[in-house]
Amino acid sequence: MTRREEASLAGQLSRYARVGAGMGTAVARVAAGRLISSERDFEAEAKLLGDALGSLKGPLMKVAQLMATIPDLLPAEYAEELAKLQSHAPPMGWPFVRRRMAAELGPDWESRFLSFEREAAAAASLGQVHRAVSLAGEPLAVKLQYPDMASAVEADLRQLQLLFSLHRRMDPAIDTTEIAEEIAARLREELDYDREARHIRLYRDVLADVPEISIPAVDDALSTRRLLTMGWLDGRRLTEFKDHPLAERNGLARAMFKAWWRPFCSHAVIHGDPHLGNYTARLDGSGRPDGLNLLDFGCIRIFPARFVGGVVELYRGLQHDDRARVVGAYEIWGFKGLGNELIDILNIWARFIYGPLLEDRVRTIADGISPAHYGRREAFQVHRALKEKGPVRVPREFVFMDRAAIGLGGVFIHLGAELNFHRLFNEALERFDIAEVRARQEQSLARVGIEPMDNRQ
Amino acid sequence: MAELTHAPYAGAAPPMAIGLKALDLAEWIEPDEHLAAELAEKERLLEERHSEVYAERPDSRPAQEEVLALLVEHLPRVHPDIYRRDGSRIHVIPAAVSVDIDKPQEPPLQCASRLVQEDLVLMARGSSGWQLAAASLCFPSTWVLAEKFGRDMDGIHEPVPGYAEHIGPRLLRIFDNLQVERPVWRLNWSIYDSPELYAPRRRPGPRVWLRDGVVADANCFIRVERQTLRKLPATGFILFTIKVLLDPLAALGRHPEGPRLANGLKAQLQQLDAAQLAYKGLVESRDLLVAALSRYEAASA
Repeated sequence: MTRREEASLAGQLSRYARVGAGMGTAVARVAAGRLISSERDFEAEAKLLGDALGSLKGPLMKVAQLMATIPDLLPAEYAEELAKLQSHAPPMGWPFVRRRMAAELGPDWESRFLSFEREAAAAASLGQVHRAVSLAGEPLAVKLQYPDMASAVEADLRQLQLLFSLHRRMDPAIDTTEIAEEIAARLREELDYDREARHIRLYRDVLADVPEISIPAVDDALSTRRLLTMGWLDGRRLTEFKDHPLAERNGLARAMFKAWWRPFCSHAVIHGDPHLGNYTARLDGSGRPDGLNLLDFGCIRIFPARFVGGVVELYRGLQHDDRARVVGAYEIWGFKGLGNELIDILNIWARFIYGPLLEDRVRTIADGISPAHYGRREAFQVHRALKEKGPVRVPREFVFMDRAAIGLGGVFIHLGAELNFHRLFNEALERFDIAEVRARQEQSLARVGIEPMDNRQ
Repeated sequence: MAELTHAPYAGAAPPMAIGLKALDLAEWIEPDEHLAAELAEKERLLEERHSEVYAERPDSRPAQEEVLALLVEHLPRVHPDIYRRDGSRIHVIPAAVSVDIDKPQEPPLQCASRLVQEDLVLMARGSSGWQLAAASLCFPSTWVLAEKFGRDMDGIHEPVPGYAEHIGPRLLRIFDNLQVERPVWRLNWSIYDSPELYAPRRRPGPRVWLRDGVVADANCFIRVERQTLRKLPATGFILFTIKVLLDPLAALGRHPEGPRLANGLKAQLQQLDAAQLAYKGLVESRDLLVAALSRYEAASA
C-alpha cells in the first residue's frame, strides 16, 4: 500500500470517527492505527480503548466484546482488555428501572413481585439483571433491556459495516463478510429476549437428564421481548475456585464439558459464547461444588445435524491421519475450493483445537498459557497464513466453533483442570448417529416452540 | 346473603399452591354479614377458653400496639358504615358492641382481635427463622395454638406435605422479603364436616359422610381461609390475619356459578396426592365428595 492510499484511508476513518459517538471514535482510532502502522503498542492502545468503551453501555460495548472474540480482528492484547468490559457498564438507576418495568409489564408491575431489588445485581447483554422474589416465594433473576436498543443496535451495525468495509479494502485476503453478518445476526438476536427464553427451554429439554447441570426456569408471565424473568440460581463464580482442590476443579470442568459437548453431540446445539461469566458453580449443603449453573442463553446456535457429522468426521480424520476424510470434513464445515496449502494451514488449527480430544491421557488443555491468550496466537498465525495463501471465505460455522472452542478452553485453563478429554469426548459421542441427532433435535425444537432447522440444506 | 365469596379451588392453580397475590390495603380487613355472630363467638371463646385462643410473648407488645393502632386508623376510615371511633372506643355498629381500645390490662392484640372477624397472628424474626410470637386465634382450622406458640415456621408447618423440600425455603424467602409497602394475601380451602368455627382438632371418629355413606348438604362445609401477610413498618414483625369462610356444600346449588365451582373443587380433590389427602383428612372421603360434587356439576348440564 502506498502512503497516499494510507492517508486517504486515514481520512475516511477519521470522518467515520467524527460521525460516531465517543466509543465509535475510539474504535475507529484504534482501527485506523491497526490498519496503518505495523509496529504499535497494542497493550497501551487496548487500555485506551477499554477506558473509552468502559464508560459506555449498550450494543457498541457488545460489538467490542464480539470483536474481541474473533481471532485476527483484534490482537490478543485488545481481546484481554475488551473482555473486562462486561462488568463496567453503568447501571440504569431506580427511577429508570421503574419506568422500563412499567413499560414491559404495566403500571402495576410491582404488585406482581413480592420484592424487587432496586440495585442491579449484574450487567447483562444489552441490559441488566435485578434480583427479585416471586409471589410464590421463588427467587428470580429479572433481566431488563436498556431502552431503545433496537434502533441503537441498527445504528451501531451501520457503523460496524463501514468499519468492516474499510477493513476489507485494506486487507482483501480474508473475507470478513460472514463475520460481519454473524455479528449483526448475533446482536439482533440478543435484542430478542423471547428468543432467549425459547433457547433456555431448549437447554432444559436437552439437558433434562444431566443432574449436575442446572438451568433456570423462565417465568413466562413476567417476561416479554425485552424482559426475561427466570429462576435465580445460587452459585459461586468459577473464578473463585482457582485455588480449590484439583478434584473440585475437575468436577466443575467435567460438568462444563458435558454442558457444552452433550447438546452438540446429541442435538446439534451449542452455546456459542462459553466464557466464565456465563456459568457459576452450584454448591451442595456443605458449600462444595456439586454442579454447574448455566446462566446466559443469548448465543445459542442450532446447526443442521450434518454439521455435527462434519465435526466428528474432522475428529476421526485427524485421529486416523486420513487426509481425504479431513478434507471431506472441511467441506461439510462449509469451506470451498481448498487447495493443499490451505488444508495444511487449517490442519494446524484443527490439531490445536482437537489436540486434547485426540490424546487418550489425563492432561491440561494447554500448559502454561493464560486463559485470555489461549488459542489467540495460534488463530492469529493461521488466519495470517490463510490470508497469504487465500483468499478464503471463512464459513460462519467455523467462526462459532472457533470462538466456542477458545472460550471453553479458556475456562478449562482457568480451572486448571486435568482430565482425560479424549474419554469425555468419546463418551459424548457414544452411539453417535446423524439421523438420531436430527430426530432428537426436531423433537426438542417442537417441544419448546422453535422453528425446525432445515436439515436438508 | 353472600356465599362462596372466595373460591380458591376454582382457579388454574394446583391444590395447595402458595399462590400469593398483592393486597390492596383497602381490602385488608373483610367484614361481612357474619361479623356480629363471629365477634360474639370470639367473646365467648376469649371468656371460656382463653388459654387456648390467646398467647403472647412479652417482647411482642410493641408490635401488638402497632397492630391495634393500624386497625383503629384503618377500620373507621375504610368501613365507616361499620366502624365508628368515639374517643377511646370503637363502635362496631352491626354487632352493637363497643370496644375500649385503651384498656391497660388487656393485651393490645386481643383488643384488636375483638374488632374484626379475622384471627391475628404476629410473627417475629429470630435467629432460626420466623417465630409465632403472639396470637389471638379463635377460629383455628385444625391447629392448636399451644402446640405452635413460640415455634418457628418449620415447627408450625411440620405436617404440611412437601414442606421441608419445597414449601419451607419458599415460605422463609417470602417472610424475609415481604415489603412494608407490598402486603400480600392468599386463600386455601378444606372440607369440614362441622360448621364450627373453633376447630383446633378434627372431630374424633370417621367423617360424618362415611357413616352416612352419602355426603348430605347438612353435614358438609367448604372451609376457606383468607389470609393476609403484612410487614409492620415500625417493629418489623409480620402480621398474619386469617378469616374463615364456611359455606355449606348446598351453597353450590344456589350460586350462579355453582356448577363451575363444583367442577373446580372436584378437579382439585382429584389432583390431591396421598400425602395431601391425608393432610386434609380426606383419604377415605374423597370419592364420596367427588360424587357429591358431580351432582352439582350436572345441575347445570
